[in-house]
Amino acid sequence: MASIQSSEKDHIIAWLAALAITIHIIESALPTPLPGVKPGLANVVTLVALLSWGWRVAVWISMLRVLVGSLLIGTFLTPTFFLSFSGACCSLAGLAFVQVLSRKLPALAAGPVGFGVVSALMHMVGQFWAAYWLFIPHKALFHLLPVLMTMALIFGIVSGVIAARVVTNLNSNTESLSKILQ
Amino acid sequence: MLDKTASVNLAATRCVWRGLVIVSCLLLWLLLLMSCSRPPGVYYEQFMGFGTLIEVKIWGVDEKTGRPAVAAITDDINYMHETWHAWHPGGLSRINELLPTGETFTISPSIIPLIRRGTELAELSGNRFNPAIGQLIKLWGFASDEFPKGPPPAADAIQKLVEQKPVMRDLVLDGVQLKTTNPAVRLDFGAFAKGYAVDLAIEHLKELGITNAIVNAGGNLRTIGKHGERAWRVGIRNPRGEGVLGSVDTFADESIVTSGDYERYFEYQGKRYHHIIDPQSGHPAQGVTSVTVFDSQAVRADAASTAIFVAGVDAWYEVAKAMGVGGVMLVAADGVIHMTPNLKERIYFDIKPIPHIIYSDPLN
Amino acid sequence: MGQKLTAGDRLLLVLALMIVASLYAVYWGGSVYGNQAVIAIAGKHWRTVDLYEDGIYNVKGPLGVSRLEVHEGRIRFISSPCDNKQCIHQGWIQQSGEIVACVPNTISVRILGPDPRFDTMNF
Repeated sequence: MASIQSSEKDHIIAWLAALAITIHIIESALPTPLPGVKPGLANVVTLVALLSWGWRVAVWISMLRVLVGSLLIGTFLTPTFFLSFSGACCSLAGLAFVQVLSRKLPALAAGPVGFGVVSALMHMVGQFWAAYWLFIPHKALFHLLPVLMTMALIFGIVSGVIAARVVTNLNSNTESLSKILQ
Repeated sequence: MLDKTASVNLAATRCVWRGLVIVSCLLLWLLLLMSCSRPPGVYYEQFMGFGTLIEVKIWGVDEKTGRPAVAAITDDINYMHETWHAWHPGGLSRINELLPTGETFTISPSIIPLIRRGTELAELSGNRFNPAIGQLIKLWGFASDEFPKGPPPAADAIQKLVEQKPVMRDLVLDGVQLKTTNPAVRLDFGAFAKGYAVDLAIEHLKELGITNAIVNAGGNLRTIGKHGERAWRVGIRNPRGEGVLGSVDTFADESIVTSGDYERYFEYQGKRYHHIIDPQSGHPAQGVTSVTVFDSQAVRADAASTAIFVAGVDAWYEVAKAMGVGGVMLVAADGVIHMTPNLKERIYFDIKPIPHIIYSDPLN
Repeated sequence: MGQKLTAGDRLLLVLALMIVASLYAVYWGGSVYGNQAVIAIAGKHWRTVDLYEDGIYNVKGPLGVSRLEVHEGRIRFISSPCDNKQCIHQGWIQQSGEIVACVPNTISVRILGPDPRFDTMNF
């Protein structure tokens, strides 16, 4: 009888996913100055996953965050969900693109901050695009775009920096972390 | 052996995976470009014609297509303006000189449709729209490029012309031969010439393959198609005072024409005398500030806006029904708005407070 | 800060800044947002004016000089050589797509904007 062996990695991933979902839920309760602008803290978790275990794990975490998060909040298949989902997809696509480029051109490989910026900007693009095409096809919406993208850029840099810190700590503390999780 | 195959499979899978990732990224990039790209052009030109400001807006064409299209209808409009002009020398003026002789004479074929359509619409309106009252219009001073200054004409002069009852029926048209049985008839197509011209301009644009446009000649406009994804939006001027009364999203082929007492008028001793003369009384029609007519044809809307203005608050509905127009909004002198119910959901009123509106029965 | 910025990071940051800056230029630029008006004589463009720079414009038409006033995002005719002064009576206009014109003097004013309130005005 085969049993499912869960590895170290699975534990940490599950823990991170739970963290991402939790942050996502907390963020959704925060008031936003402009509709659709979230500090993007949950994105930090995605970045950490990307940097430590690669793109596929980042996809898992991101999708779990959006799907489970929306199910728990109760916004599954609502406009909010589609914005989130679109943002997450675009963000992941952007990260994949940059990662592929980084492998092809190692001299110009991106670091955590670079990934953070790309993921945040693409996340905002995905959200804005969904908002425009699905909900408010009004040209006036574009007036918000520069501001939204500026905030995305700032949060992207910040989340990149935080992710870098976390990854460094994780690397040096992996042993103690796995002991905690056991 | 198995290992090698496995690793080849893995490499292949990775390639496919990467390929998919890159393709989807490119697709997303394309979509991003789509959403950020500027909308295709609205070609816009403004020119003077028919004594007023004419605007043409075409959706979805560039200058290469738009400019010649507008040039073509500018030529049309200038030609019509001169030929149909009631007082400049030209086709219609010549007719007005020859009519009182009672003789039969040859007319330019371009005037024939005006006479036919004019007669048709005059009859439907009970002669409230009456292009045959050219003499009355001249008497009041409105048959001139300048505004009259007053005083209003003498009552007996008006009475004399009114009694002669010139109507379109008094014309006998046979091919290109015209004569009149009533020497009082003088033709002035001012009340519907612009509408007619706008219809022709739109037909010409359609012939040139244009399907989304607005032609607006002063208070006479017609739209075809849409402004891209949404309808053409027309603002209706507040007849009294500043700004906009409301706005309406037009149907795919619709005309909106407004006649108002503010277009051509003079004031004398505190009273305003405007250019919409009631053929029955010989005086400017009273009780109404403006009439806006919605219809599929600009020529019918134009004639009807005059006829309904003359009919006034009491008889407007019957005339609208008889002429078969689509919708009417009448702003009475007391500020009350009389409207057909089909316009209720369509007109978005901008002014506050929202005016008092009385809805009539539906027109059809 | 745990790590330095890599070369790739720097490149990405520069690109990102360029993109964001250009977004401002495109979507906040003067000619796209509704704070400009076009003054035309006989349909031909005469000047595009900034509605947030207060001032008086003297526009010469066939009948004479019409004067236009710009004040805090609005524009109006204050004097005109026409007979009925309809243009003056219409007062201030400010919304994207609004038009005011002195027809006898062939002068028209139209407020620009990306998504005008109206495509045209029915007078």
